[in-house]
This record gives sequence, C-alpha cells and structure tokens, in this order.
Amino acid sequence: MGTAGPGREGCMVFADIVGAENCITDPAGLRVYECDGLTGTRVRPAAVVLPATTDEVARCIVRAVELGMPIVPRGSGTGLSGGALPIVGALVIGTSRMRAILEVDIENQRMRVQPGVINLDISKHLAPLGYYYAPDPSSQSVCSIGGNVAENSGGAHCLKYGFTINHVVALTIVLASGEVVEIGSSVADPLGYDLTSAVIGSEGLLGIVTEVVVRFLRKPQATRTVFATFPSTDEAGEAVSQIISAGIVPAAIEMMDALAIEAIVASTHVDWPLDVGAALLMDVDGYAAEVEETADAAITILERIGALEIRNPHDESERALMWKGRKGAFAAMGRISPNYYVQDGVIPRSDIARVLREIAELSRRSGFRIANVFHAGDGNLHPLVLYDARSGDESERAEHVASEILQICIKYGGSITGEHGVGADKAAYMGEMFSDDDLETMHYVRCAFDATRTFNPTKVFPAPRICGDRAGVR
Amino acid sequence: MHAPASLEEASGLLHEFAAKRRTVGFTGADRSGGPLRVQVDETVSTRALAEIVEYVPTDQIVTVQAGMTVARLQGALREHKQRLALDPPAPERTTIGGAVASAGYGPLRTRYGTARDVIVGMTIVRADGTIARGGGKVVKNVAGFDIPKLMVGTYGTLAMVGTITFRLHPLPPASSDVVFPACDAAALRSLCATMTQAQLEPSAVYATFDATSYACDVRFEGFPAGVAAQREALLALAQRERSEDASLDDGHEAARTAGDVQVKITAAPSMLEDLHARAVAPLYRALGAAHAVVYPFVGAAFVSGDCTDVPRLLSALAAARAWAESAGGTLVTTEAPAAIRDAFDPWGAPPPSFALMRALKERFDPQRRLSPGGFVGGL
Repeated sequence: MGTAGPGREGCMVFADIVGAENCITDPAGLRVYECDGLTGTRVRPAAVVLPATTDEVARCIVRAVELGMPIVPRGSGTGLSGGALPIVGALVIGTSRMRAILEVDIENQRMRVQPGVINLDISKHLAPLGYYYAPDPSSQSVCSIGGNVAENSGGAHCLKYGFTINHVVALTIVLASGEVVEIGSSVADPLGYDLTSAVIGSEGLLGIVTEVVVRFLRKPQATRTVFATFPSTDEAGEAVSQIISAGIVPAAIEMMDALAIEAIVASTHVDWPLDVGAALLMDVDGYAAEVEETADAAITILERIGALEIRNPHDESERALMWKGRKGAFAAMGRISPNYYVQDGVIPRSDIARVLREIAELSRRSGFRIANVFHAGDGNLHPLVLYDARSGDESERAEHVASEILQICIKYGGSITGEHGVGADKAAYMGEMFSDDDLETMHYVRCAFDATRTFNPTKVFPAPRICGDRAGVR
Repeated sequence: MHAPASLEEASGLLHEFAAKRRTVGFTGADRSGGPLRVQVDETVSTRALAEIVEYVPTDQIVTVQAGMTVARLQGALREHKQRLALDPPAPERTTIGGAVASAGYGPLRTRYGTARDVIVGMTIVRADGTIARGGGKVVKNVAGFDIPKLMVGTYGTLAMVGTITFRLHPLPPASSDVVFPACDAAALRSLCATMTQAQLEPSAVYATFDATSYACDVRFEGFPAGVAAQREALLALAQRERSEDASLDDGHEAARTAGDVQVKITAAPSMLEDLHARAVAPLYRALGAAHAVVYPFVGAAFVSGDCTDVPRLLSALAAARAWAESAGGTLVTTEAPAAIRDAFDPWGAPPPSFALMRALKERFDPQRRLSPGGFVGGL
C-alpha cells in the first residue's frame, strides 16, 4: 500500500479526514487500485482514501462532491465485472480498514458488521457457537461483505439458501449529500418501501454502505458430499435435472467439464480422474435423517443416469479438499492457459445440455478452448475462455467469444450475469436483455438515491441518462 | 371499476388516466379494505388478469398474472408436485398480486421468507402507462436493479403489478404437525431455543392464543424419514404435554382474517414475552370475539376481532404501538373501521429512511396519482 507524498495536493485534500497514511495519490500506490478482478481493464484514479468510520466516509464524499470528483466504492477488489474499476479523475473510497464486527445477537440471529469484514470471517466468528453465514462466493476468504452487498453475491450454496439479498436485513448507507441513512431493520417487516432490496445488487451506484446487518443461520446437523463422474456433460446435466425433479433440494450442485477437471487436478491435490467428460460435486445438508434419505435417493439417480464413479469423501478434510478444488477452479485455469476470460451467464436449468453443446460448437468454430465450471442447480454458467494474450489479437477475439456465450444465454431466456454483476464489463449488454423502458424504470431508483450520479457514474447502464426533475412524465 | 384483460389494456387505461390526471387505486380480490383506504378517481382490478403465463416444471419457475388467486395457482402447481413457498391467509380469495403488493405471508415464512425471497421477475405497468420488466425467469440473476423485490409491499403506490415470476419448491412428500397446548410466551421462546439448539428445521412454527395461553404448532416437512426423526426428536426434547390436534390452521386463519379489526405487531424474537404482555394480550382484551397468533421465529404477532369499544381499542392500540416502536418494531392496523382509522394512523411513525422513500415515489409517480396519501407517512 502506498503512502502519500508530502505536499501532494490530492492527498492534502483528504488527509485531514482519514490521515495522510490512508490517502493515496502517488503513482506506485495508485497502481494497486487501477483495476479489480477484471484485470484486463485498468484506469488510474485521482486518489484513493481508506476511511475507518461512517463519519469519515461521509466527509470524504462531501469533499469529493465539492471538488466535482466522481466516486468509485471499493471493497476487497475481487469483483469480476469491473464494479470497482476506477474512473478518470475519480476518488476511490476503499473499505479495507472498516473491518469491525460491531454487534452479535445470537438469539435473533443477527450480526452488525462494517463493510470491509471478510465474508468468511463472519462464519469463522460464529463457528464456535454453531452458526454460519450462508452466502459463500468462491472468493469468500478474501471478498468483503460490503462488496457482497453491492453485487448481491451468491455462491455454490445459494441454490438452497439464496443470495446476499436473502441474508441481509438492514444497512447504513451514505448518500452523495453526505447524509447517513439507516435502511431496513433487524426486526421483521419494516415500514414503507423495501430500500434494502434496492441497494443490494446496485453495484455501488446508490451510495456507500458503511454498516451491514446480516441474518445468520444455525449450522445444519449433517452434510453429505457426493462426487460423481460421467462420460459427458449430457449425462451430468440430465442427472442434475432428475435430482431436482425428484423433489431433492441439494445445498449445492456444481458441474465441471473435462477441461475444468484437468485444470483443477493440475492446481490442487484432488485425485479426480482425467478420462471423464464431466463431474458433479453435490452437497446435501439438513437434519441427519433427512440428509441420509435424500443423499441416497440422489445417488440412486446418479447410478441410473450412468455415473462412471460415485465417491463419498471419507472425512471432513477430504470433503474440504473437494470443495477447495471447485472453489479454486478459476485460478486453476492458470495451470493450463496463460490467460483466461471468466464469463458469467444464466440459463434455465432444463437447457443445460443444449447450451453446453452450443458452447462446444462455439469453441470448435472459434478455435478457443472453453472450460465450463458452473452452478448447475440454478443454471449459472461460468465458461472460461482460454487464450494467450501474447499472441496477436487473441485477447480481443477471446472476449468476443465470451460475448457470444452471453448471446446464447439471452437467446434461451436467461441472464447476462448470475452473480458477477454488470459493472463496467457488461453495461453494453443491458440493452439486449432489457428494453429502454425497463432501463428507465431502474434509472428511477438511481435518481431517487443519487440524482447527481456521483457514484460509479459509468457503470451498469449502457447509455448516459440524466435525472430530470419530472422523470416519468410523458 | 376497470378490469383490463391484458397488460396492454392496463397500459392504455393508465396512459389515459395520466393524461386526465385521474388518481388510481389497484385491487385484486375486489374487496375494499386493507390499510390503504384512500379515495381515488379510478379503480383498476386485476380480476381479468388471472392466468398462468408460463410454467416450466423442470425449471421450477412460474410466471403468473397478478389477479390469479393463491389457491388456484397452488392447485396448478400441485399437479406437478410443486408449490409456491408463500402461504398468505385466505388463499381462496387472496390474489397473487395482492399478496405481493401487501408483502403478505403465512407460517411458511419461518423457513422460506417472504414474497421477496421467492420472486425472480415482474412486469409492472407504470403510472404513465409504460410496461416495464425487471428480473427474469431464472433464479439467479443480478442484471440491473432489483425492481421486482422493490415492488413487494408497495401496495400499488409505485406501479401496477402485472405479472410475477416465482421460483418454486418441491411439494414435500411428508408433513407432520406437533401441537403443544398451554404454553405461555416464555415457554414458546424456550421451545424455539430448544429447536434451534437441536438443529431441527421446522418449515412453520406458529402459536394461537385463547385468552389464557398459547397452543404452538410446529410443522416438519420433507422426506418421510427426516420428518419422523425430527418429530421424535422434538417430542423427546420439549418435555411438554402435547395434544392430538392435527394442526391449528383454523385458529391461525381466524387470527389473520376475522373481525373488522386486524393488527400486526413486529418485534425481535427475543422480545416475545414483552410482545405478548405489551401488545398481544391488551389488544386481545380490547377487542370483541378476538383471535391472536404469533410467529415466534419471525417476531410477528397478528390480533383480530371486532371493534366494540372505540376509546378502549384506541388506547390499547396507542399503547401497543408506543411499546413496539420503542422496541424497534412496528404496529400496523391492516383492517379497521372508520372510527379507528380516522383517529389512528394505520402505519405509525415513518422510518428514518423516509426521505428516500418519498424520492422513489416522486420518480415513479411524479403526479402523485397512485393511491396518494394512503401509505406510510402519507406516501
């Protein structure tokens, strides 16, 4: 982390608020903040501040607005759609120093935290008491709860348990005016409009969240993990459909194709077979007797569909290794390709096999290898387009192939993003999924919160819109 | 009363009302009432919008028009061994749109949450007549702002809810209710703590009040072995006498729908004894032919009955609201006769974020024509 050089104007402006050591304007220090997990695009911001309190955030916002600086909120910077990608001349407000757990209420299963608290640290804090926080994005050991709120993050286990929006009940948000507003409530059914739903998943366009009240859950009595391999993704996809159709609600059901398995095996110590077409990794959890019955029923289905091999981990460490393999799948691509482009799209679950065949055809046609890792239970695809940035125009062509995958998702009635967000990366596709009227309606929400478009002004929406005084009157 | 038969027709009507600056209210079940009683120039009913638009059982997704009743939808889903995990009272006459617009729920909230937790998409007709869509027809989707969830509980003050897309759940193959009579509020709270500690996962827990004590219904749903095991575990742990009642559905339904006064009070689950002593019991006593039910895991109570003594009821309502608000909760009169409504705001004190709510109303309904003044704080 860089520190401010003395006398630098940008830093002087915020140093009295956050302290000179928490204000970054030197080029070396700013380099760290030039991008988020969407590493192919970089923009140097004017300054980065790392406030510690809601009050400091509010004062930084007021001053940035006075100076006419756009503001880009940033959590841990793990987002994959460029939500925290800086904008030229912007102030980046990072929450990495806001890591306090403020209040834990076991009986009511609520916890109030600062936004920089790491997702997994919530569950770690609760583990000795037998509770946990359900949303588990693959980056959960480094991503922040504030970033999760901005992106409405999911994870493998959201099939059964839902997303951030189902587990956050109240927020403190600082608006462009510097006003600090409490929205939602720890208590059921707060009065009026559900502003919490508006803010969660708004990708940092409405304000900066400085406190989050999460709802946590009692740990399930039992969890059974099943790993199964198949000749091809067709059988694996069919198995997923039949398990769900049988009335089983797995906590998670993940699919990996041959290329993804190859990368995971190369990067971790899992001993998964390399001569298979696809693998499923499934968790069933709940009350022990229920888990036994449903897991056995699922295994019967896997056998009937023609699974090549079905494994049950022998102990918790083997189970943890299997999930580590799955959660490390994106990074594992580095073992089999110099570069990779992570796509995130959603299709109706029943179209999995058809869409995978279309993606395979796209791979053949384009010449790019495409690995598939995805949350099969809810049809959330993560195709990884493998390329070599050093070779000619491969970066651009790979990105084009990834965009064709989104067109396939739209064609099947799905979504251009299931959990990574629109950010800077997919704003151009919003117009293909939504009409101008749909986007105008979303824009009303933005204007109600941030009429001056101070926060993340270039993100999510495809074309600039202003917030007129009489929006909605035609 | 207008009853458009398509969203396009609804769009035309709202466009026309906008041009004429007519105020508009929306209704599902064609019954006047609810907390939002304001005089409007035009009423638009969804009764002719009552069909399933798309149902793909293998995807466990359904898109339904707002005017279909909850019972009819559940009937269609049951044929495919599925259900919408949302069980508002009076399903035979409550419409899906009404349940969504009023953020309605029933005992299944214990496990499945509210309408916002099962909605994945929505088509609305805006105040200016524009048809707009939010979300989609897949469970997982973070493209754009979540307009569908924002519309839940807005009582038609931001837009007309046209069609709604829900994620569905499998119909559980087995279900079993365990009923514990003669509980006081402390015993209810302790019973909940016992279940949580034992990692039991009831799908619904509610307790009906009979003037002296509560009877608590704990429902387990799922595959037969799991349901039986949880039931046995609960009976062993609770160490309470149980009754043979199959379920307390009737008592629950009465507490949610009977009488000319219906009140909802919320407070943290840990405040259950106070919720009873400061709100449920005094309101129960102040009403004629009263019923009450509490959802102990949710932290919500519903009291219903007849208004027989206006001054006494007003005083009980005021005291109960003062307590609820001081405890971080709310008290809402979802039904009340004019004598009560005129003297007692159905909603109570607007929340600290009220300015943002007003800004939203101004954007969605700049001419203030959709049930103006009827919602929280005169929204």
